[in-house]
Amino acid sequence: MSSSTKFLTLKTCDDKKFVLDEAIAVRSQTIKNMVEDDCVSNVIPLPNVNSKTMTKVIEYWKKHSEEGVSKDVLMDFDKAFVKVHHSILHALILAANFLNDKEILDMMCQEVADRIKGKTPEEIRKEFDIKNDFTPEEEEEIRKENAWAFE
Amino acid sequence: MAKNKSDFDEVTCILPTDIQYLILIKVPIVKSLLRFKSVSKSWNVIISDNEFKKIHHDESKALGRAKLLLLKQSTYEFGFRELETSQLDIIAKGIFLPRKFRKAIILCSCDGLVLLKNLYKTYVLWNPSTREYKTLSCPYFSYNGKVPNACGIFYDSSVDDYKIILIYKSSYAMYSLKNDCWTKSSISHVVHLLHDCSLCDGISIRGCVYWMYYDNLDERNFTIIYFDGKSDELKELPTPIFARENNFFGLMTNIKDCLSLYGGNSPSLVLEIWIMERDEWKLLMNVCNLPTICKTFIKDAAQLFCCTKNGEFVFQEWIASRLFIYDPRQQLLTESQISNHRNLRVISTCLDTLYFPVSKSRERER
Repeated sequence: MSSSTKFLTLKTCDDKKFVLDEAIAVRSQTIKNMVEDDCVSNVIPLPNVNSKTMTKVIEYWKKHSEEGVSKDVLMDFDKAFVKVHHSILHALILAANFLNDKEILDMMCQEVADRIKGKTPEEIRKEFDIKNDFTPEEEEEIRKENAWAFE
Repeated sequence: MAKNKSDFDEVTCILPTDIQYLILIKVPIVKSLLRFKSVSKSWNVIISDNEFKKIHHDESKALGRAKLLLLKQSTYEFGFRELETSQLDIIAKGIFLPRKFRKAIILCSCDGLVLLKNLYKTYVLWNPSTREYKTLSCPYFSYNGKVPNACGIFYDSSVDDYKIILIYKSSYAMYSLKNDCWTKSSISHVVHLLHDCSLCDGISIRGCVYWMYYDNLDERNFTIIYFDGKSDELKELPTPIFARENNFFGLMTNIKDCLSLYGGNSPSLVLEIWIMERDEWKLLMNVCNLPTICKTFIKDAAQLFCCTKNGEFVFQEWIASRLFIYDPRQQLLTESQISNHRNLRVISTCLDTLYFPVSKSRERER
């Protein structure tokens, strides 16, 4: 690595520190803005991200910053990367949203979308912890309008 | 990956509404979204919103998520098949046109909007994914209710609008979905070509609609004309050199949003697939080792529809309507499982979309 490499220290909400090449860390638009605005002192706090989620994010950033990695290898990496328990998936989405990394956010949202496409409204409510705020009559009405979508 | 699992808190994080929105935009199947309307009031509002519908439409289009629209001719039942995998899995079936349009003729489609010709001067614009439809009365051309010489639907990106074009002899009518209005113009060029032929299926590619027809007297002579939505002009595409030199006999289709010609010359056992990239014809591939298929492939046997996500090609036989998948990597042509359902006809590739032009005269099936 060249001598000009700058390192940033990221601190997650559970007080774990990650030292990372600045060139990699600026994949996060949030961090990039901080660097550009020159408001980076020693440590960048990430109050919304825990260390386990950050480890996954950095794993992704490093792989996608490696030189000479073929498209196929990256595709396989991404495929494996999204195959996680849905609690991790949700944590990664929130982290990507906070870090403003559109690439990870898009990929993770697509994974959730693919996973929920076959589900029933009841299963969706459970997964997203959404309250059914329809009256039984209203729900019946909406279901009737799209009856064939339930076949 | 699995070993990390226990490290994470099992408490699922609740995703805020703006992220739920991002996820819904990426749900690839309209049927699922319509089902999700009954999840909660806020989801119903999101999914019913016209802006959401349009963003979902544009995203599906950008990701090349077209499906295969099929028609079972015996029952007039439509269905969607997946093109992401070579199994062509069912996405939706049991889709019927409103009863009063069962006799309508399917003319063409573009991005999930299907145009049908009903009686006399009425046309039906239909979204098979949502079952919404709209009847359109063309104020011009009577011709005893004859189908147009040529027609098509295309997307005009300069005004973010879909337009329908109907050509009758030496003039054309254009309908703007956004403005819900018709206009008529006369055609100044290529007029003589259109008088006697019917070239209904317009192939719509990036704001243009293409038609091809063969000379009645000389079968080897074909002409491609197109309507350029940017200048509202009907133009002729020069006959490709490869076609002029080799007695090429072929048909036209849309492959990966490029104009494509596929065919060969009669003694040849090779099927060529050409695509037009940046105004130049490029040989995409040769399909060989398929003597039984290729011998009279285009003329009698099969039509090429599209390319699956894996890069395989979907063909359908004219008469027996069997479907074939060609895998170029293994140079293998296999009959698709779904061929067992005879009289299943591929209508077109079609976007599974919530999008439907809204205007005052919106109708719903009773």
